Amino acid sequence: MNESEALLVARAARPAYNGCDLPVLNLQIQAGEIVFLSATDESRLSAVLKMLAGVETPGDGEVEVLRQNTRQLDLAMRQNLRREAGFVLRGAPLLSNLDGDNNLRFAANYHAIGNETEQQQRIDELLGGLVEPRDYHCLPAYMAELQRRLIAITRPLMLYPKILFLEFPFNGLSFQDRVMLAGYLQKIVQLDHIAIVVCSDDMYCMQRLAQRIVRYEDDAVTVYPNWEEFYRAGRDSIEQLNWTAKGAVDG
Amino acid sequence: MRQTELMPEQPRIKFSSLRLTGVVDIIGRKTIGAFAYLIDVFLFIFKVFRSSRSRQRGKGFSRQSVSSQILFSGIDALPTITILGLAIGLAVTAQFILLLQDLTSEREVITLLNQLMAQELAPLITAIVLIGRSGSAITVDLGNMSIHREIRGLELLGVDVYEVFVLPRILGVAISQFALAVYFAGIVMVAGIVFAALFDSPSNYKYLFLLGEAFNFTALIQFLIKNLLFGLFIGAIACLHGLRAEFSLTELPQQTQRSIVNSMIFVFLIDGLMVALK
Repeated sequence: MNESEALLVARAARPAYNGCDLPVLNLQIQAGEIVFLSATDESRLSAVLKMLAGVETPGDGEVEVLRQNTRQLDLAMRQNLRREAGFVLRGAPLLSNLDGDNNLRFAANYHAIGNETEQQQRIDELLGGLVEPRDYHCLPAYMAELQRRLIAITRPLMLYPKILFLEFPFNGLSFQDRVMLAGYLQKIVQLDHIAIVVCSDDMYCMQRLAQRIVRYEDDAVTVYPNWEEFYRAGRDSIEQLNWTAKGAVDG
Repeated sequence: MRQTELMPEQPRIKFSSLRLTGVVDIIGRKTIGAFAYLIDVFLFIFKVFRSSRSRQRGKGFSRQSVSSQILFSGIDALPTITILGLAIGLAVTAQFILLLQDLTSEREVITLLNQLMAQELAPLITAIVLIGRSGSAITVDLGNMSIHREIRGLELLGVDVYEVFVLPRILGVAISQFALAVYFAGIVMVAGIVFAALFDSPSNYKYLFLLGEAFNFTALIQFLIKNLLFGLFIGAIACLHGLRAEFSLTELPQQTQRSIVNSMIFVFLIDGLMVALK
């Protein structure tokens, strides 16, 4: 893999995680890839994701996001980086006093990206067919959970990012909604050719989505190039995942 | 063997000295805390204004937010300020006129009224209304956004929270404070004179014509500076406490209470300082 083409490079990177020593990570992510971060402990995943996104500086090693070393970013550079490297927090918080439409346009207006018509075209391009326009012209409190998630994920996409980081995007959604959201993420990658890094505990959806898997164990981290390698290493079987998914549908 | 032989003699605790040390300790801690808070407030204001200077993006965006803050803090507060102005005009200004006119000249009466009611009472009453009305609302609003990670979510989109949420609120409150104080001063003076004329003698209308003479340029500048400082600190303290609420909704009432009390203290301190510097 050519490092110069990589959107994200982690070299022996280890997040600063409550004084605990996590294993070091070496990783490169290219455009158009969906990478799945998996671990036994959820809080580790958030720490790793924030380190990879450049939201937090690594405890050890180096992380380069869009060729910028995250240790050397000042406030202005960090803010600029956030335009091109979107990050959606767990629970997908939206501004509660703005309707969905204004939530979608907020950051785009702040960064002066596109006029009203261009922004509307972008919203239609991303959400067309998934969410009715009337659904995002109401306050987040009146939206269904899936609508909120879709808007929270679409919000950074209004800035045309090159890479998107999602912190537990499937948590708390019904099975049908999780599948729909997974489909939306696939659509985004095809449409914009961006990279997506997802930390999640939803193996079923991630199996449909991700090409590569980064698995954190207590003492080591392994990057699996595909799901076959992952299963060969003795992780959950496809049968088990399908059984879990069937149980979710029946339930 | 007796107990006293086994145990070494314990030093006797002097409760009076303990109590004194405790009091000194508390005073020391409170003083250090107050200075640290003062530094926090000044640093916060510095950071807010620096963030607005360092960026060119989103300027129009911030202007829109300032306008909505003026609408909320200034225009929406007009009915309250009007009622208060009329009430104080009747209860205080009219009485002052009736009492003073027998003791001193007409010009002295109007100068005293200008000094007390327009320059001292108007900024204070307006500030108290703004603290209770807008300051508390700003703290709750920002605190809710902070606790629900709405602000963090925007920071992760490269949005400067100080520029978008804090600076417009501070500027909006400062402008509103000045405008409302001017409005309140006008109402309290005019209403007082009108009530004095209605209840005593129509000759008291003469004070309306003397009002213009009571103002001078230096007093106007002081009035402007005082009100802008009041507004600046009310807005900044409200935002600071709003952003301090981070984890639990139970922090909100605590931060709101601190915001109100500390804003009051700052307003009276600034007022005292302005009087001392005159």
